Amino acid sequence: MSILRIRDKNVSFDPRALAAEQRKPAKLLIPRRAILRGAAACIALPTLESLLSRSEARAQAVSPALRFMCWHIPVGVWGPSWFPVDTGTNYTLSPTLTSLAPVKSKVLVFAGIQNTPAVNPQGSHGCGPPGMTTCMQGQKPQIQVGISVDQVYAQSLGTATRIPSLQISGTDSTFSDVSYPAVYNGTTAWASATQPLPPIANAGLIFDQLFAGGATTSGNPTAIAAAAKRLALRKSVLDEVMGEQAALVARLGAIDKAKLDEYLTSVRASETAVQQAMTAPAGSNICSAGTMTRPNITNGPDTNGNGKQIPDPPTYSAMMINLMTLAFQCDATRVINYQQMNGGHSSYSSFPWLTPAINKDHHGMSHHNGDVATGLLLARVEAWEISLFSSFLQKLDAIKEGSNSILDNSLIFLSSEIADGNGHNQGATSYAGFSAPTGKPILLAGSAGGKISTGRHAIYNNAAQADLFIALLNTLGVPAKTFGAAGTAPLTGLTA
Amino acid sequence: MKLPTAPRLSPVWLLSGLLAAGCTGKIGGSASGPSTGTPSGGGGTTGIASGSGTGGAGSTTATGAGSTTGITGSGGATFTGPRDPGRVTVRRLNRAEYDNTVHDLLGTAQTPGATTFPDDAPQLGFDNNGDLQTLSPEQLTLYQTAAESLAAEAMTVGSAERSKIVTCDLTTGTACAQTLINNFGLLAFRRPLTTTEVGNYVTLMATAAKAGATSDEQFRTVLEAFLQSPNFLFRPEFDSSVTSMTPHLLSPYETASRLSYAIYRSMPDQTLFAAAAAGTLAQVSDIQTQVQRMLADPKGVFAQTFASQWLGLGAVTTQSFDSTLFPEFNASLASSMGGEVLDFFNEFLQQNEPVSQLLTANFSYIDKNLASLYGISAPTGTGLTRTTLSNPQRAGGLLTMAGVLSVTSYPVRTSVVKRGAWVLSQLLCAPVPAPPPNIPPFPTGAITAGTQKEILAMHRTEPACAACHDSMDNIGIAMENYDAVGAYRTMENGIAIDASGAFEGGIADPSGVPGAPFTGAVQLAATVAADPRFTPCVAQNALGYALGRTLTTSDAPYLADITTAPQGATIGVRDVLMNVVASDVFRMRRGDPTMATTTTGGM
Repeated sequence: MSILRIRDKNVSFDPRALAAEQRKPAKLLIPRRAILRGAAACIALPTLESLLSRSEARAQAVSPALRFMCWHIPVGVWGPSWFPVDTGTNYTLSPTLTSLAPVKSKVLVFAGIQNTPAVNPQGSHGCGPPGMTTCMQGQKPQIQVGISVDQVYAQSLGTATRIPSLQISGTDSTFSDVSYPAVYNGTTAWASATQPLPPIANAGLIFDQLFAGGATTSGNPTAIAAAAKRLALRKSVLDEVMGEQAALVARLGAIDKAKLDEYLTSVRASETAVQQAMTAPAGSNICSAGTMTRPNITNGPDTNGNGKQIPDPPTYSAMMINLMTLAFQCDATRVINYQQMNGGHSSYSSFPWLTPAINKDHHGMSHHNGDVATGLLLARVEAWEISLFSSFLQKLDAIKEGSNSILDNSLIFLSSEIADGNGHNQGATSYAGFSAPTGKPILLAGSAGGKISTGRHAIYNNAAQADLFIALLNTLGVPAKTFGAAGTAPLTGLTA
Repeated sequence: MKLPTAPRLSPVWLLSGLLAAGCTGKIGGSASGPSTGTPSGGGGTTGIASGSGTGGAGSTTATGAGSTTGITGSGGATFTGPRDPGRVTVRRLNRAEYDNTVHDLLGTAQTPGATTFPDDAPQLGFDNNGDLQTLSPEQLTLYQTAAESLAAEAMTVGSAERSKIVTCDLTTGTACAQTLINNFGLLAFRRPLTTTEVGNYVTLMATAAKAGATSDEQFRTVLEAFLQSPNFLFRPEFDSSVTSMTPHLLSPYETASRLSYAIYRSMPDQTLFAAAAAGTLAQVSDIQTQVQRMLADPKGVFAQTFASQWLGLGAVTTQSFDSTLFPEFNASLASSMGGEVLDFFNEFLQQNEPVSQLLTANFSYIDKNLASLYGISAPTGTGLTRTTLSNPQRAGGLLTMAGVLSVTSYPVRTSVVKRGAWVLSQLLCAPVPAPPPNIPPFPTGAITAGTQKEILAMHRTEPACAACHDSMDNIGIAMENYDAVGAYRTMENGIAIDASGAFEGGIADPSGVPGAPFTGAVQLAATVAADPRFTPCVAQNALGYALGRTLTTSDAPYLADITTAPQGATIGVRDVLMNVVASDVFRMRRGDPTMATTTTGGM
């Protein structure tokens, strides 16, 4: 665990845990796979890969790897179709959530949770996405919010996985809301208060990231040699540019140096990835794409020519779901930030793939003004989004790691940058004729290895989303005590 | 001219800009921005309806941040100190600049920026402001992927790209390698390399050789390194002492880069490199000669890029409108709307037409789409054609162009507040502060009863709201004869539109002496054109864009010069640009005592 390295006002840790961390002897940064390989050699067994599937081997060698995910759906929800009207374990799935039926026992539906620190009457779509994951207000004009919950976990893992975290979005369109930097609207992952991790909206590039250039090399000596050479050349390039950076900053003032230091941090991250790839046994660090070929959908105008959404969102989303499943399965990463779409004006401009099609823009509809017909259109969109979520959960649930599934060993947080699009609020919303409790739409899927009690609808009383994050971090083994502007104690009632 | 396709134009440039503290008319509360109370080279607005409604909570008057009062001397403090050109924070190539640069450097048709890089976080101000850029680890991976792809393409045996770069036989050894490194390095770093730098690249080739690279692969590795180098990705400028406030001229190569990125949005061309090498970029006349040449070059995109960002036109191709209410709006019309504004502004730049006529011209660039929307006869042929406008409804220049009128509207209706705030901020550099918190939401959606003027009356009766809304609303109301996509109308919801307005409130009318009222957008445009704030506001935006930084009160004396026409004539748009590049503030910089560094190296 490397919580000692996290320096962000947004989160603080149990002082006893910090002290214990400091007392631990310095760890040798030996890749886990090298240890496994060495162990296998010592006891003269065939390599683990040939005996067990990779994930089974991992399950036996180390305690289950816990995955964490933030899944963002845009512009809030139509409450009367989202929130179930009954509570407890025998609740009825609401209309919007119907497609969760196959994984109902593994999902926790929340009501009565608010994220007040993210309240911003003017900039809700601008500040909202980072507010959702940091429980902080974004500043302006400087880019500054807080470390996001997923990055707290990612940084605690150190270099346990080849990719610290994946950031993916369904669009690369962002906009600036009342002069908030547009990076807010498009970014839910924040490595620090000032370091956004903008997502990639190109499935081909995600494919490349996961499969190290697209080719699987296991068993192919020529490909292995080529990959090794590629890595060596890449490393030499990175060494060269780091040297140039040092020479450059020696001549620059403090502000310019800070900009170049961001560059250096990024180059170092790249070098670490290359080092890891170089020291792992040939072929073992590359996830297998199986039968999936490199996707060819690139960013561009959508079918209506009205926006920058990816063409054919259903195909694109399915592709991303496959990639994310593979990423978790081969342990390329344990943290993913998925933005189904960005918030506000950057969301879908129309829905031609639904039956019947909806030819209104998402953000416009979200200002429903209480109109039920518009609300039901929103609910259809949201039901589609949840069906994608459900398909992902089902894929994760089908992959076994020991006696659990990957879904069991995960915590997947789904929410939106606001609770309701009409008022841009961050908590309970009232709708004429609907009396069940509302709040921020939040789903939690997976149980971190059985630690969370799922399969129910839990209604809280104006609880803070930040407290939920503290509880989730603690469940993941991160001893967070505070989080964001409002998190003071872990949310209770989550465990069995 | 058509809207250029990427990469020459950054199409998604969305911005709204509200500065500072509450609705008190005070500007300058950005506590931790690069400089407080600073006007910035404003950016434009867009179809950003952040909040609900007609103008209540969150109805963002999406506006670029214009200037504070005082910069142009109208109504604020006058600057009395010695002249100070300030400093510019190091800029990284934004993605449009990256694509243009690799195209000019390598001859490639690849556009990694447009196709794979995330949208540059468009900020308050123009998209080349280094203070507000960030760099993520992901971006570096994307640079790496792009560099490897571009380098492989450039080294393809038999290709035109390779023949321009590899001009000797790499198998013959170090001398050839050094020549190629020097030649390519000069272009990639936009300055000559030092002997040490060349030596490092030769060593890089040797390291590559040890990893099994052929001589071709070794040089390909060199190209990959050049394309990921901070000297390529950033545009550093140096002060001999980073803490000294003494202004000094930029180096010739730094000047060349400032000129080329301002006008070409790309690296210097051969003529600029030659002038830098010969030291003939020091005199103002030299620089102005270069700029005249560059404006005539097909690579010259200053007019389009600046106008698009200043006016917020980037949103014109990404905005959407309710297809039931506005069936005429489609991608083709959106493209025409954008093209009209850019071609119009480009003529003003090329022909040096008076700045004030940007709002009063009797011509525009019209095609069949716009002719249909405007109710005028279509020009013959396809494409945008210069057309004298006989329709008096379109005599307001930029203010009666569909591009401007649509990006200041919502998808279902016009926005009086957005338009008013846009005029104040982008044309008069008198931006409106952010609304106070905790405003109850107004109803949104298509207005079904009354006109906007009637519905918004409450803005002006509530004192807390009136402080700003008196200024905004009384401008936007005058534009109500133009619907959300810019078509003319006389009725709204069955009620005749009353488009009478005036400059009221402390922001529109700081003197407190009421000016003449106006009815309709054409009279409004004439009023703005005659307002002493308009021309300086245009100049201020041009300077902010050319400099790539937020302006401060220290820039006031330079702005006064920039706004003065040669021989006291009426200043034209080209005059403004010529004055900008001639100004000390563009050609000089200095350090700053706060720039002292205590450690070397990275984190």
